[in-house]
Amino acid sequence: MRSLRLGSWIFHHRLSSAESLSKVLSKPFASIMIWFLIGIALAFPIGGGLLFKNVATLTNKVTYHPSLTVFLDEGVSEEKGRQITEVITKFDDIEDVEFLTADAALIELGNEIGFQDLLFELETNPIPATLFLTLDSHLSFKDTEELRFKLLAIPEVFNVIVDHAWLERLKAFLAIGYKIVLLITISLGLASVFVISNMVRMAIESRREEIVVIKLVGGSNAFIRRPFLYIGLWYGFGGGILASIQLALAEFFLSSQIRFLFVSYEIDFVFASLGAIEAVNIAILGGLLGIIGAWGAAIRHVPLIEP
Amino acid sequence: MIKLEHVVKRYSGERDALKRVSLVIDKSEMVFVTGHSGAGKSTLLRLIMILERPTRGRIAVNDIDLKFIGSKEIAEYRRQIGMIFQDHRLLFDRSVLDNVLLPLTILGTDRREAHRRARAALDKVHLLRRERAMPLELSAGEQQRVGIARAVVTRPSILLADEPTGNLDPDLSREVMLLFDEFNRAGVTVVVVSHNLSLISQLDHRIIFLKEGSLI
Ligand SMILES: Nc1ncnc2c1ncn2[C@@H]1O[C@H](COP(=O)(O)OP(=O)(O)O)[C@@H](O)[C@H]1O
Ligand SMILES: [Mg+2]
Repeated sequence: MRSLRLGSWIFHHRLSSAESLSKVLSKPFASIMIWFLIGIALAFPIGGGLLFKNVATLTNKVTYHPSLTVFLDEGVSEEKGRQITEVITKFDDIEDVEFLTADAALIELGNEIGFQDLLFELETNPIPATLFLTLDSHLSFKDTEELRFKLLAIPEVFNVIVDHAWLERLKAFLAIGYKIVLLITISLGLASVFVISNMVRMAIESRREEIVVIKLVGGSNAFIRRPFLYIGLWYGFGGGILASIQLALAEFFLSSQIRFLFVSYEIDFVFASLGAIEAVNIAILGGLLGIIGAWGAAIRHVPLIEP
Repeated sequence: MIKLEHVVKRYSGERDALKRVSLVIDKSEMVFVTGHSGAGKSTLLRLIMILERPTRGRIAVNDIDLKFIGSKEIAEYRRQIGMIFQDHRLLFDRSVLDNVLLPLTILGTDRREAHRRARAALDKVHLLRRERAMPLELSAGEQQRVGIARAVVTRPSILLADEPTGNLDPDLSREVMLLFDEFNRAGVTVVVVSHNLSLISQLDHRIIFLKEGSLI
């Protein structure tokens, strides 16, 4: 008996989903509008996310000429400092290492910032022995970070400062960009849910008579809601598929140009792109948004229709 | 068993549609309810179906006080009652067979069994050969018979019919009443509203007279 019930329950779901799909397809114009809207609502944040992912990998790949300053621990002797200089000179990518004793570093700093007099007033030298590194090649951000850690691993090294202010600025900019994309994502997601909710509400209104009849013969609110949830599912799912298509098209047209740009700058770069699994996930995400929207409408409006 | 105790129903306005109506319809009994238009006949059925709630008084069906049936349980309650409407209340975008299948789909009856029972019900009202037709292709009388098939397909213990022969010619009207009589003989409690006194007096069942909301 139980399995019979389950079988018929599954059957009713199949029936509801098929009927709802044919209802959605029977209004092609409205449905295509909704699919486009949801498609854009999904494609925008996902596209934005992909773009940021690409920019983030790019910042690791773009090479530049960083200057590194290595501060040694306080009290490291000049002898030891010169030994370390020897070691570092043998590192890859290092063209030149300039060693400054603590006193020399203080003078250098004084010259640079113009407070010589003030600095000489100090009783103890606050500046440790310092090494200025010149690199012989352009390094990527990631390579530079690796070099930094390698230097930090030397016991006498107190700190390593990499001058990449522009990169820091770019990262700050990216962080803001992420937040903006997130905000727009939430807005568009809510808009999609709202639009689907509204479509389902209208579908419920237009089938008021039918709902009354079903209630007269003992249909529960849950039973009546079912096909409307499927309508939401199909709107959302279709929108998700369209989003995947939009993203694939955008990628197709953009990536070749971007690649061309990078090749001209001799940057080896693989565009992070949308795979089949992501496309399926986007469609599922769209379907979920659709069900949420439909649920919101059905839970409120189906009980209001009374025989 | 259907039991009304001092039931008052007032919609809006001054007049009561039902005025302290007390009435018992036994299990497996068949009764006719008659009276002029506006006497409260439909209101009586709507109260039993919980399409309306009484303003005062108590209604019990199969020993369950209807005031204890909350909005969540109404659907389940209605499934044990088959109701036939004067305006048929069919779904016009579904075939005759699908209309009759609807209550079984709601019940979750196995599909093959549901089809078998829907066809049997259609056969009973002589409409099996029209199972693929759409309701609007049918005459008023045929539509009414689809409504009857839909009402009995779940084998409810109670059958309510509101002016079921309103649109039918005399021969067909008589046939429909005999059909109800047959269901009654199978043990179903049947309440038929009709103002066709000459027709209902031909059948040997109790007749309840309503006048301006009161029993007479
Ligand atoms: N939904 C309603 N709102 C207000 N008045 C109603 C409503 N339904 C019925 N009535 C009134 O209640 C009285 C009884 O109606 P009804 O039960 O339909 O009578 P009958 O079926 O015997 O013709 C009538 O006066 C009618 O106008
Ligand atoms: Mg009436």
